[in-house]
Amino acid sequence: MTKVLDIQNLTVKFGEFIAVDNITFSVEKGEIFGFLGANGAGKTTTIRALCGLVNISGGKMFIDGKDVSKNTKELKPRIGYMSQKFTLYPDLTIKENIVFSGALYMMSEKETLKRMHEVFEYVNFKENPDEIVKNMSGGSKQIISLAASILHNPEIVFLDEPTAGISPVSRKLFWELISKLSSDGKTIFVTTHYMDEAEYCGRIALMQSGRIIALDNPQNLKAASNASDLEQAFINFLDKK
Amino acid sequence: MPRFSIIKAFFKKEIAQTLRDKKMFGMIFFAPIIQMALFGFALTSEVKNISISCIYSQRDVLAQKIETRLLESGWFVSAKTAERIDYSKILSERKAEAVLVMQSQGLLKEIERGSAQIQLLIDAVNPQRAVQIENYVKNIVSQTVSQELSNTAVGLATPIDLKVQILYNPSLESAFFMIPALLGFILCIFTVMLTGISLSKEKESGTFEKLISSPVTVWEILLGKTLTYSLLGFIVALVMIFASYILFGITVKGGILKLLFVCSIFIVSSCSVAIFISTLAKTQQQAMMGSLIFLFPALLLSGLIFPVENIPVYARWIAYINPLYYLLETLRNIVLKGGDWVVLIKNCFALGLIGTVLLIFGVKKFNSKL
Repeated sequence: MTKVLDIQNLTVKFGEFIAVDNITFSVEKGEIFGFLGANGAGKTTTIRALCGLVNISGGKMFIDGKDVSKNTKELKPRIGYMSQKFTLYPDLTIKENIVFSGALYMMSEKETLKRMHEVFEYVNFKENPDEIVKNMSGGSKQIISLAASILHNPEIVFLDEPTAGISPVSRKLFWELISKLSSDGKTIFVTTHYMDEAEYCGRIALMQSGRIIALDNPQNLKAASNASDLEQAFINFLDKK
Repeated sequence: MPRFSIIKAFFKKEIAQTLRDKKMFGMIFFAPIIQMALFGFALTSEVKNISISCIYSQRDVLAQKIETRLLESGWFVSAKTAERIDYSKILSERKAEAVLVMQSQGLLKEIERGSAQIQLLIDAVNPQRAVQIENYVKNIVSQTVSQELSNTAVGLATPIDLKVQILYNPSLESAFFMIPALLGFILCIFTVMLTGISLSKEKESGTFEKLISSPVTVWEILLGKTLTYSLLGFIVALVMIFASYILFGITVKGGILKLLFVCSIFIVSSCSVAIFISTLAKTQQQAMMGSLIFLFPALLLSGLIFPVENIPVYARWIAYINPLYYLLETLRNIVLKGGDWVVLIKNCFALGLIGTVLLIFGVKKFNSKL
């Protein structure tokens, strides 16, 4: 398997506060890689560092063998990023939001809308594209956000708590879409709070206070901590620390 | 090189967002017209409606004439003061703003004798108004007296026949002076506030994160934003030029092209200020406060209301680095005088220089990281 993401001794500090503390891991092509941890564990900061959104304090990050800090401009079109925050314009329509997102990646309106329909069709999303986004439900907004971040067909997709606050039905649909993306050869890097969602991941990194305390596939993590489910495994790992 | 298609996408997005907000739409297109009407009609720098009380003996014909001339001038109104003994009381109780005391048994005779004395008491709480009142009264008294003297057998005529020709604004309308400057000020508010708020809104709502995770450059973000609001500013300027013609009959003597040219050089400065404000402000409210902190001194030291020549030398230097000062001076020159090339080139050079420095500073400070 080819390493798509290679992170070596990554450290991110904000003043005195160490958000990410010397972490090392790699992600393979087509893998769904999960980041699990409480709020403030350093998941979002790691994703932001990988997308070139924050300055790093130490270590190296490589995407496809290219140093992220030195090749940000070249790498940005190859990654898709869905922030934890809601990053659509609430006063614009679904279509206007999507067309603007596509334009940021130099996509024509026609091309963008074709892609939007493909994604919406796959998850059976039936909202009117001329509807204003602020009138949508939480689940619909997340689907639109995801569509906006994968329009340009990125090789790696970073999803920061994509299913936070949405209904179980929407969450299921969402994960089906993520699995489909992975089977298409895209590498997915996802952070989540939900332990049941973590089961969908190929491998999981458990994070606490900016450090990775365990990293393996769900079965091995459960076996290593003598737990029947991931939640218990996580607790056991935290206790061990 | 900034890519045109990205700037176009920003433009379409910003316009859709601005025009969809009905309150914003009203604020952009109607508020400037209302402000202009207010400034033009109501906020006049001319001193008018001065209540004056003239005190003299009923038999004094010349004093009577002076009072009539004062009231006929249109600047003064007669203060109805029953009490005519304690003059300072008339002033302290604001029954009159000025008291003209001509207590003699015959002003004309006393003038002939060379011993005429007139006393003028002015309420100088507003010193500017007081100076103007003094000048008005002095002029009217001396005109009336010299006319009276030339009519009498004495035949004393005024030694100098002063012919005054008033140029560019012959009717001395305050509106003519105010409107071109107001046009510049509103353009400044527009570009500074709307651009600043729009940039901070992206940061506050989190959409900025999406922008910087995409391959767009800082220049593309900034150009996309500033060009949109500059264009809106231009449209408002044109609406105001049209409204000023309808309301006040003001025509742009130097032509609209010259006016828009100066405005576009100015916009580099105002947008750079907006960019700088957005680097400090994390929320829209902070951007609004930041804009006001810039706009107030910029307005007060621009010559819109108080002439820059009146400002003490040390503070005048602040006016000389204030881009609004150059804009207002040039706009007045273009609208009223037709736009003298020397003034135009000199001020555009100053605006260009200030704009470039501010732009370098603003863009350097603008961070494409979180």
